[in-house]
Amino acid sequence: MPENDTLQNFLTELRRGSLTLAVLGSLREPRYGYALLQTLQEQQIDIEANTLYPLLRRLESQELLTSDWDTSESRPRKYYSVSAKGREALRQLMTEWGNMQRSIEAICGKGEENGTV
Amino acid sequence: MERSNNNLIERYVYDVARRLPEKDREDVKKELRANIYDMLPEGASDDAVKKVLYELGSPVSLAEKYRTHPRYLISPAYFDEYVAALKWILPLVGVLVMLIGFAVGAFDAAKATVENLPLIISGIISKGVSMGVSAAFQALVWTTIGFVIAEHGGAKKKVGEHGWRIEDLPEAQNAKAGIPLSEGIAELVLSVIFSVFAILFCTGRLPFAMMFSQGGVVFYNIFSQSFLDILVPFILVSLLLAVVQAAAKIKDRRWSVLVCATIVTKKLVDMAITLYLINQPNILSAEFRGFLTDAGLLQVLPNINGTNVLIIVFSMLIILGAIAETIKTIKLTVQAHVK
Repeated sequence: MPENDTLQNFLTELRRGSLTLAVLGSLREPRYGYALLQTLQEQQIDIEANTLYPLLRRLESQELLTSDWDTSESRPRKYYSVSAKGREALRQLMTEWGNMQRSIEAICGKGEENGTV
Repeated sequence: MERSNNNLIERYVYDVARRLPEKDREDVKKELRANIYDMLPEGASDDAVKKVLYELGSPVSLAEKYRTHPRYLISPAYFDEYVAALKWILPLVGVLVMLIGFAVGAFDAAKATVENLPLIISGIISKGVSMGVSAAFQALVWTTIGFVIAEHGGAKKKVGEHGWRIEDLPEAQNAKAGIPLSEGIAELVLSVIFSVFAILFCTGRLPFAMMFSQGGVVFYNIFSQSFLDILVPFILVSLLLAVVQAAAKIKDRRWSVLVCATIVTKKLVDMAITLYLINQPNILSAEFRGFLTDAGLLQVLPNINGTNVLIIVFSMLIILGAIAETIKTIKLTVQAHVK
């Protein structure tokens, strides 16, 4: 059991930073919180509501996202989309993501060679 | 049905928001409420609402995630120092005040007319323990408050251009170089007890101590009262140095330069005091002198330049002893600092 916990911790650590990428990337068109959650989960991104909603709020306060309340329907919804600052951050993060992937693959070998995915 | 749904959601949203800074509360409430309703179909049942709320997790953990700055009373940057400070402040203050409490208890008992010895002893002990425990709690509270103020009052920890300095690194210590906590506490207790008894004796409040019997039942003081009178301030100086030395041991718990300095100071001052005292004229009481003269002991010991040879021998022993102890202390300290 403890071994499983350790592995789970590693996975959580590894995913944490990439969530920002996934969120910024998905918000190139405006989405409200729950719709974004469903989009991400459809893309096999392992994220829960209680992580996504606070993350959206944090990214908004860091001015990487802009938001707009839509009150035209019976349920008011807050639509988020990526700001210019967010787009720039996403571009830099994607470059870094590519670099890291190349480095890790150079060190560990590609996934196929290790017989995993 | 819809009403009770609303109620559950409102209660949940409220419980999250109340844990957040006031400026964020309304926004978070509005957002969270909208998100929860989005996760539910129109006119959802109570069970569906409960399922969604359980999915979001406890209000405490959700609020924690919404909070951008983690809340610490004392942050990890200070925590080690906080624990280290408590480790020496609490035992030192607790034991010191407990001893004072014993003294206060004994003083109260001396004033009272109760003759029941077990009652007196239990009174003294309970006074000491209760004062010691409450002082330790006070020390805990004030140390904590001090650290919290340092933490939040913006006392910046950064030193030098890198935020820390190589020069501040402690010397590497040998594992054997430690001084157990018990040693410092034992010294503290013994010094205080010894000094209290010595002062009581000098001021004539302990008639049963340090006497000799001459022939039958008559008891006299060995020392003259004029000598005892000048003794008290020296005992207090020695006690003060002993407390400082014990405090240094309790604080550092290793042969640090501070501990070494306090021990050497105490040894040298004690030596000076003792030398001064044994060279006083009329140390012995007239009765004891008379007894010695009658026994023919005083005449046996020759005088050199008007000083009794016994005093010269004692002085030499005291000086040699102090030097030996000083060297031993310095040696231990040096050993502790050299691998």
